[in-house]
Amino acid sequence: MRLYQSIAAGIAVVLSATPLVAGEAAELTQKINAISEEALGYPEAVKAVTKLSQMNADAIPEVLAAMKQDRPVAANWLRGAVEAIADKARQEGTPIANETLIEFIETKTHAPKSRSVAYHLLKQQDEEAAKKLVPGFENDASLELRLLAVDRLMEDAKAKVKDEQKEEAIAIYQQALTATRNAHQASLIADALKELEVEVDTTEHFGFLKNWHVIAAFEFAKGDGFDAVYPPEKEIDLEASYPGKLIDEIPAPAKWQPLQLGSGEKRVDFNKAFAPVKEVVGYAVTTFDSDEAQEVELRWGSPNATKVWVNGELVASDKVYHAGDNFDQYTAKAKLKPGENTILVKLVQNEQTQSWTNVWHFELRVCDHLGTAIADAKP
Amino acid sequence: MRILLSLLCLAAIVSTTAADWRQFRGNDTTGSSASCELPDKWSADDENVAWKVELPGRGPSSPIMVDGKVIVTTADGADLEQLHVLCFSAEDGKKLWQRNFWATGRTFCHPQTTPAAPSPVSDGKHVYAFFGSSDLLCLDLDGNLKWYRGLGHEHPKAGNDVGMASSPIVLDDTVVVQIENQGDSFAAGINAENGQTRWFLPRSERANWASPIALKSVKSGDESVALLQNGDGVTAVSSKSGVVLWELGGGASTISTSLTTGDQAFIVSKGLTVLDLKDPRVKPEIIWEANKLNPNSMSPILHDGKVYTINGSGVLNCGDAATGDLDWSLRLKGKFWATPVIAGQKLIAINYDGLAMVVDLSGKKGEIVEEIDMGEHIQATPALGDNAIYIKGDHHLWKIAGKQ
Repeated sequence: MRLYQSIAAGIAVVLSATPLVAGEAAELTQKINAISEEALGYPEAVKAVTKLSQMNADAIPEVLAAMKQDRPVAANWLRGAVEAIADKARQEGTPIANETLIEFIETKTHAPKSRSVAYHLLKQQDEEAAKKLVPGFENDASLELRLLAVDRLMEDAKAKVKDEQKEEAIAIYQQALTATRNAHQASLIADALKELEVEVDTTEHFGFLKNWHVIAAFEFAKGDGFDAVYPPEKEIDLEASYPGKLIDEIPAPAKWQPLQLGSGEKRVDFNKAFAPVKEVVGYAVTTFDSDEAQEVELRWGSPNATKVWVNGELVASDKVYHAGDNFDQYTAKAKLKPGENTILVKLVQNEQTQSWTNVWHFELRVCDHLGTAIADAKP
Repeated sequence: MRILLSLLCLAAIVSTTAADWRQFRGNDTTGSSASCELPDKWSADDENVAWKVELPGRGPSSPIMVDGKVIVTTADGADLEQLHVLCFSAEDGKKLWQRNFWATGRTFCHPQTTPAAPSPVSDGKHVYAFFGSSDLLCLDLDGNLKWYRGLGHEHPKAGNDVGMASSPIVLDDTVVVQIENQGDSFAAGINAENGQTRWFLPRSERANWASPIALKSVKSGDESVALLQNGDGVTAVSSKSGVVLWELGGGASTISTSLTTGDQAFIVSKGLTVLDLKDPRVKPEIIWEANKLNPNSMSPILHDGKVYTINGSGVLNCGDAATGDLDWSLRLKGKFWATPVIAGQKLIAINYDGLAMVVDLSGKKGEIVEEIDMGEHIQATPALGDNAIYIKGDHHLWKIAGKQ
């Protein structure tokens, strides 16, 4: 039995061994990058990825370079091919040279995803060589690589604490906080700094907006309230009042009221501002001053259904009730004009009665594509 | 060339093995293997541990075994965006390959779970790995990517923040996935050859974690039937075309998954409801309903004419598969996510805290004969094969076996 299997395996290797032909990898990666969301081009991509996976290690940089940040599905096809090539090369004792991978990683014009894959290939074949690169990732466009550098800074700071070098530890933790774009890391760093008697405002760090006006409560209308258009969607008049839902907890009419968050707070909580009620619709509005015309990301989280408008333009609509509440749960791109921009949030509380649905809040921040907070330019 | 091809074909034929466990609850979804003989007891680190390996990342997905290879999925990363498919040699636990991908859909989930909650499935030649981010991919058994599909990228609102868990099935060269939540909800039949969509069926926009099951066709040449399950009930669709063949309302579980023997389907509805599947393409008659056999979050399993469920209080119930009558009940310890499995006359139930309880089924009533602390959280339903049980915890994968 083993004989048959060995013969078959040997023949398979002979039949599949394909020498690298200059330019061939480019043609194959193009076929993979051509796949569309309608699942078009898949048969061609299947053939291309099979052929790519059989190439030798020399093809790795070319395949990595074909990964595009805006083509996440195709990037996964290419990652699969690269890892298969690298695996085979390592097993055959002909891995790609460390220097080639290091050069690729250090070329910042390559897509962050591809550089991250290159780093992990290097780590698999030479952990020490990979480790040496980590400090250089502190401000990297690849958040995967940056995470490693921040982890390392946190380890360094912890060691300083252990050695009772408090000032040095604080400085390194603050360096790590500036670098991180990760909520979990930021929270750990803030906790560590608090232990060292340094208060950190993570709300400020992540750019959660703090100055709002809120209004409630409009009628849920048996679920139609999400789509119904209430006065704040037509005009923002902070002095106006409107007929509200007739409930004891929030006497009509509905009027705007200011809501300001303090240091460390990020949640705009309608239950606190008004009352913990169900089957109601509320709105929150704020202004954000931009230095220039720019494209930003709005990122928010809420356990309630939300709609978000920027300068009157609807940028997102998520009719999801009580399915969770996460940091950067929802993201939408928005164009800001120079000067004052209006951000309006609709927050809809549904009819569910379980205790865990008794929440009515959101948190929202403005940032760039990496999650770096963009500060309000208001004086 | 013909000789070479013949040799290749011969090698392919002889390499298949009857001990495969190709999907959640095994090839036949009963969760049992009459011929599998396990050791009476074992420990987490030593006794009867054939091998133990550490896993990168974690996930409640079950291990599967195909052609002597144990395949698991996990997820890790800052936002659980790193998806892993790992393959180990069943013989010695050596890692044969690992492939890594980025989630292209939503990865939010409850802290107890990860996007690696759906179990992978195999047709014997390929592995189809599906993740809670609605990423679906096909690898051959040597780890070569055949295709990748970002269903979460195509439907960015698919997903709930508790986490998605429905496992895919493969039948008639079609991978059937069920993606139901408060956003984009659908079931789809994906061409197993190239990843293209064969059919797309919009589904109820309510959270659902149950998996589809395959109903076998009674006549050769007929198209196979996939049964979709959610809070509304069950829907039978042609696996190749997605045409709805019949529906049965009345609601069904949104977590635990039904099973079928081919002649009957044990539906997790009103406790347990058994359907007569004379022809899976035709709306079936109800044979019996038994609300006392409600399996809560774990799925029912079947063995030797008996159906077994674990209810929300951690009570193991044994019912007569022919009548639904309750034979006996046995209180187990702790809270469960993993569905138990049965090897020979032993039922192995592992609770969330990692306590494996071995229940002897040979008497009139089940009896716990051994308790083994595996030392870490366990949510994955184990796999059986070759007189071994493969147990996947939060951090490790074990092969437990007696004399080899």
